[in-house]
Amino acid sequence: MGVGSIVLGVVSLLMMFGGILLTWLPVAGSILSFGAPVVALVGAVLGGISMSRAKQDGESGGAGTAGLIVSIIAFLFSLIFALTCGLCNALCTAGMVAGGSRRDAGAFSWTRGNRLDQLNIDDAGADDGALGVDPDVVSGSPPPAFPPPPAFPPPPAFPPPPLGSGGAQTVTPDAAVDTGEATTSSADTSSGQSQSLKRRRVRSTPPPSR
Amino acid sequence: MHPLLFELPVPGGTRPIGSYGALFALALLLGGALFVSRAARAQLDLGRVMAALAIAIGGALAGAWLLFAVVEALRTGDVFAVLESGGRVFFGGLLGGALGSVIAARALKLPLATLADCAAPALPLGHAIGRLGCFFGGCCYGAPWDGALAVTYTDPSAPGAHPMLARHPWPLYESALLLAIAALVALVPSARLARGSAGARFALYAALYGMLRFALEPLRGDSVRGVVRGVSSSQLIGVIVALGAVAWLGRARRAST
Repeated sequence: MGVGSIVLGVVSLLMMFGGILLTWLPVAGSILSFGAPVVALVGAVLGGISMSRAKQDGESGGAGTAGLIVSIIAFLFSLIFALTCGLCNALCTAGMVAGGSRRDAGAFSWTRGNRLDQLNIDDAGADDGALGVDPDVVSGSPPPAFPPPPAFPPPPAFPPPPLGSGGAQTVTPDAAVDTGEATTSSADTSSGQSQSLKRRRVRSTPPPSR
Repeated sequence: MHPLLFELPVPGGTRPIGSYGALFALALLLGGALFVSRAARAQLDLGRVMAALAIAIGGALAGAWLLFAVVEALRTGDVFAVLESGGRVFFGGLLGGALGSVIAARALKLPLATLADCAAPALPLGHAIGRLGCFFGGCCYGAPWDGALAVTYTDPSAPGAHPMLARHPWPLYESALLLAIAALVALVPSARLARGSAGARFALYAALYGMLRFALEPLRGDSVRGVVRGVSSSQLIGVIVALGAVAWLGRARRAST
């Protein structure tokens, strides 16, 4: 049991490093980042029980102690990375799981700007009123720090339909905010129109229930 | 406030390390160390205590997220919003941790009430450090206010910076009061607590924190999150916890006479 504890502690550390390196990879990155502290906790349980049994049997219990220490260290560090890299990856994974049905809600977002849009916040400080916008839907924890730029090309931006077609409601936030080139490459989007497009998109998101 | 502690260089780029995550881990480390030291003083088997602590932490993390998920899913009606947010709720952690502790105490044959008493000062200590993480991360911010202690979150990655207003430093209020609760719960003589009944120290902590949360919540400014008829979900749970703890203390006191 003591050896098992050491092994789980080491596995947790490896999962943590995997989560750090694969932050950009949906699902796998989340599993590694959030799985690492869970594995470390299991290692700590085994280490503690091993220590206890060794003490009862009058043995040294060195393996259990070592496993406990490795698991505690692995847990603390993996928790830090789960709350940063893991959360970034969860955002990405949630968007992928949600699929196309929620693309117009801006689920697949890599940038802070899009996240604010999900929270129904007009970052430009529009006329929502001081308390009308409440970003505390992330209450209990802050959002992850800015995610690193993805190592692979960003998720595909869906070009907005022409404004004249009444398609502002279906414009994806990813296209409107994330990728400036996608917005400006549309033939009819001058900067004023772009602002107007963004404003209409924000208004199209239903306000949070109160 | 500094939401971003530093950037960790990794092959192919960097990874941000947030202040919130670092202080959350520090809270678990220091709170856990205090719990284990008190358990050692109570002459409990440290190996089993460590195992129980790991199970309780697992339950607490799961409970904190699950309660958040339930509240958020009910509020938005959108399951995917829960996946995207990744928040946690303290009372969920408390309930999940309590459930984990009950399971661990039974499985590992440890006295639950003694474990709870050992955890009583450790919980507010860790919680106080965690609230500092909230402050540095710019979350759990306060209601708009222009008084002498007001703070303005300016980092664009902080939820409290949207809109950028002077606010109550709510996490600091709660952190300071939690430290006071930790000191009180740790130092009050056992004989004064329901005449030394096991579990009384934890009940005192639960009663004090429930009342604290109920009183402080209006300064938090969460008009959206779980408010029903002017009472937030945390206030409701806080009142229930406090009343339950006071009732338990009263009953234990009567039983000991």
